[in-house]
Amino acid sequence: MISQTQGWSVFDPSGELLVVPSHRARGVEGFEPFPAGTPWDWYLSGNLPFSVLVELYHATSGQCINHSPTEDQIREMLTRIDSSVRDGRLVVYRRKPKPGQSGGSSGGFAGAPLGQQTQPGPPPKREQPPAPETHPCDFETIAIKCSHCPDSDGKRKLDKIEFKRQGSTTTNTYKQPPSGSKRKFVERLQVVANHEDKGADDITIELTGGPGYTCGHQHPHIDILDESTGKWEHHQGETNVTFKAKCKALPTPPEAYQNPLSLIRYYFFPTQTKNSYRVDIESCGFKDDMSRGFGRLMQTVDVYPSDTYKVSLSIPSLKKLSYTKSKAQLLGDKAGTTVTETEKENSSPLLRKSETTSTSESLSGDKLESERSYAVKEGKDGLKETVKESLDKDNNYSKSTSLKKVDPVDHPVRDMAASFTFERNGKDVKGSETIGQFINALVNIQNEIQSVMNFINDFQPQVGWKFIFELELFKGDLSYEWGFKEWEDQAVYKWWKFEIGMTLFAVKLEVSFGASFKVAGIGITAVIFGNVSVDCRISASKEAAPDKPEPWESKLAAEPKGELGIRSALGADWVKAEGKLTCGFPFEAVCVASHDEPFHIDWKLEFTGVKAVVTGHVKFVGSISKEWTVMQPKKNWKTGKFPGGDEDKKPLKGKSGSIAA
Amino acid sequence: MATPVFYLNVNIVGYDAEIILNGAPILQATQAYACICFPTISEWVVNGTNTLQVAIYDGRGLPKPEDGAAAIVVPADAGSESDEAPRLRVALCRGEMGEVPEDGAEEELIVLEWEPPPEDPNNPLVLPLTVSEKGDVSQPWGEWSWQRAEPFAPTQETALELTQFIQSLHAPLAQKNLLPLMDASKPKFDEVAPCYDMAPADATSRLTTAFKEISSPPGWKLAAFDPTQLQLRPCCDNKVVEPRTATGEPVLRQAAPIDGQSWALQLFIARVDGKLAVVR
Repeated sequence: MISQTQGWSVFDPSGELLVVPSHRARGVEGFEPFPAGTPWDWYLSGNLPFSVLVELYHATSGQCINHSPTEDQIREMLTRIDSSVRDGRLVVYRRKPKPGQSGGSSGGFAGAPLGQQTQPGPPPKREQPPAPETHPCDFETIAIKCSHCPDSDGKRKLDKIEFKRQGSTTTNTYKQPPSGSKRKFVERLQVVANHEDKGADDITIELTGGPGYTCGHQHPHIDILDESTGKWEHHQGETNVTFKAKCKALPTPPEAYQNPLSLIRYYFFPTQTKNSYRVDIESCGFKDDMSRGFGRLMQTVDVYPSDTYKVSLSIPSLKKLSYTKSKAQLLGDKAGTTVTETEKENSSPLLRKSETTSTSESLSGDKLESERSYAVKEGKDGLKETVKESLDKDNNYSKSTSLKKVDPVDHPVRDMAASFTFERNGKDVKGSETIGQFINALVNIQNEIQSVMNFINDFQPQVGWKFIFELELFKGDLSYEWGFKEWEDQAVYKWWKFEIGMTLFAVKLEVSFGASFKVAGIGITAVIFGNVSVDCRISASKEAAPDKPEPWESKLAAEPKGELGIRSALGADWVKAEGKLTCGFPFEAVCVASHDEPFHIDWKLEFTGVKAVVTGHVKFVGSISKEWTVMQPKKNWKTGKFPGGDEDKKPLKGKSGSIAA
Repeated sequence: MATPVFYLNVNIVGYDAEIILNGAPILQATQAYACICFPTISEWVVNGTNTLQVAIYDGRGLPKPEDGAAAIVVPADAGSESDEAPRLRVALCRGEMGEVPEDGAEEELIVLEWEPPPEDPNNPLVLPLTVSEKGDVSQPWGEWSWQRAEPFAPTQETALELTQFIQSLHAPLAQKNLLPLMDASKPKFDEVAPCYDMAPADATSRLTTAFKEISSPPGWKLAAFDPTQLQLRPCCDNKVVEPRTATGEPVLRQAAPIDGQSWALQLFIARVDGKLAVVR
């Protein structure tokens, strides 16, 4: 019935079949794997003799007992081995057909239900169930340790985890974290290791003490299951076993991960890389005096990736941006809106500016007409000034001037330098591929901030304009590292550390522009001028502490400073602001870091617009006060996550960290 | 030659103050917010010596004014107090029509700049305080009618006469009749319009057109005239009177804002050629 060398024949009317634990399946002489199609249902449908069931129980049970199983235990076993057969932990073999036999006694049931194939005769005589075990078989202490126990750096102070059984299982890990700690306590051994053989950690299991192993079951049994592969490693009769522990490999992120924050998130403590090893250590559990001893211990060892990641980001200041068009002479015509000539143009190379002048004259009948036009093209927008003059035979002279509105601030930020490195264990991880989208997002935001000046109500280009920006958006340095680390006890924790010295947002804005204030049908060309600034900086550093796992958070807000003035072209009418005239970019940011979320900054930017109660002093008419919205405010104008990219925009390729927008 | 325009470059932060040119009140500043503006005041500039004054009523860091000092009317929703350091600088400047004044490129004729003196227990600063500067100026329009006007005698009869005159303007205006006001304002139109390259007819046309629009909203009303609340403020060596309410508002004004808009017309009355007239 039982063959110690070949396994356990659990169906033995003919001795044709073997049911063998998978690790013993090799080298079963004279047998071959049972073909596809399970005969197992037949086994479980009451055709097995009880003695066979008892043997099967001993062969497959987690508990090594020295007595016959009860009926309930047999039932439980049948259910268990059914799934074991199905998942491959038990395999079914049949005797190989003898040469010359056409199918043989077992060949006939290949591919067909066993019950239909075999026509068993009367079952042969079976051996009686074995007598209860009477030999001491046990260990006293189980020690599990990793290769860093203790760590040479002194980080892991734990020497080993020791298990003993005194009534219940006790261990030297059964202590609580320090007072006040909010760390979740784990009693199992957790280690960090690579997913490859090189870098795997050596886990050692050592059994000591006890009466020794005299039961004849080749105890102790140490079975180790690698959950990532489903493979078992079995050891019999060994009291010191070392196995290689590896984490799972992290696949390369999909191409869509071009955004720095999404890339960081992908690599931020990935749960799918955690591996576990189930360790099952077993003896009969009888001491010298045959009293109950340790018997069995099942433990799990968790393996986390040993990779450490580092993000370094450095963004230099943006150069000062200047948009100016010098003031033109505003003649005091009654309507106050006509321009006769433009004196001078200042331009920045960034503006991609071109100027053209054209003149035409025509004579029709007795009328001489001339047209002079001056056009200045700045980016996609332009300003065209056309002067038409005519003179007829009666010396009636007429002249008219028209001016096309222009957007004073185009999109001049085309590139910016920034360095972004993303390293795993000191080697680049797609950082250079990610920088494009990141920079593109910052460039877009900066351009939007500047181009808000293009939305001045009743903008009067004839009085010229000046917008000088010093704009800084996330300028400075950020260094951020993270990875799993072994703590001084048996636990692994999520370690992270960042240092940031950064101007999150700063604007220094000098403005001067004309806009029309209309009261009682009379338009007053007013000039808004002044300086405003907003400044929001952060300087912080923080390192995760296992006993203080609370998230780190810092809230920042910056309010605009400075005030605008208002003046009008000299003439009969003038304006005065009754109250503060401001223009601002209120900025709010929440900086967050925790072991659940990578370091990032949620930020929000608004634009207050330019709005005030203004009194127009109109000669002969009086003073008229009204609310004047020069520029519309933009509530919740821009929001974002740093270091994030623009989700909607594809990255653009640039040279060495710069990008062309 | 371009028409000259005289204007004040006002830069007052942190003070309740009033600017007076040749005795005429031009502008008030409040501590509540910065007063940075450029009122054009050619019609108040005289040939010869001009006097620019600033009456300081209160200010950040100054001792509290004595009882009875004039208060500055602060509009509602004027905003919070400025965080800038107090400063007071007013300059009488000359420019040209259509020009947009630019800092550093202005022709300053009289500059009045003031800051509190160091504390002296023997000579404490008492508010209100009036500081002044004088300067010679030449303007092309000659002597103004208000300069020639005979000073008002500070009598009950004068007050009664002025009250009746104001009532004669107010009552028709309340009925949206501008004619009495326009008739009475002829010296003003004749003198002030040329200062700004306008003909007197342009001035009357401006008033007519603008007032029509101002008074067009349904529910528009002129504020009632209450003689008991009338204050006749003597200006320009008593040659000019500015009528206003006890709270410092012009007597001709809209009763209440409509859609956030309100109108007021400051009057300066003088006796010109023996007859009361609106001169500014």
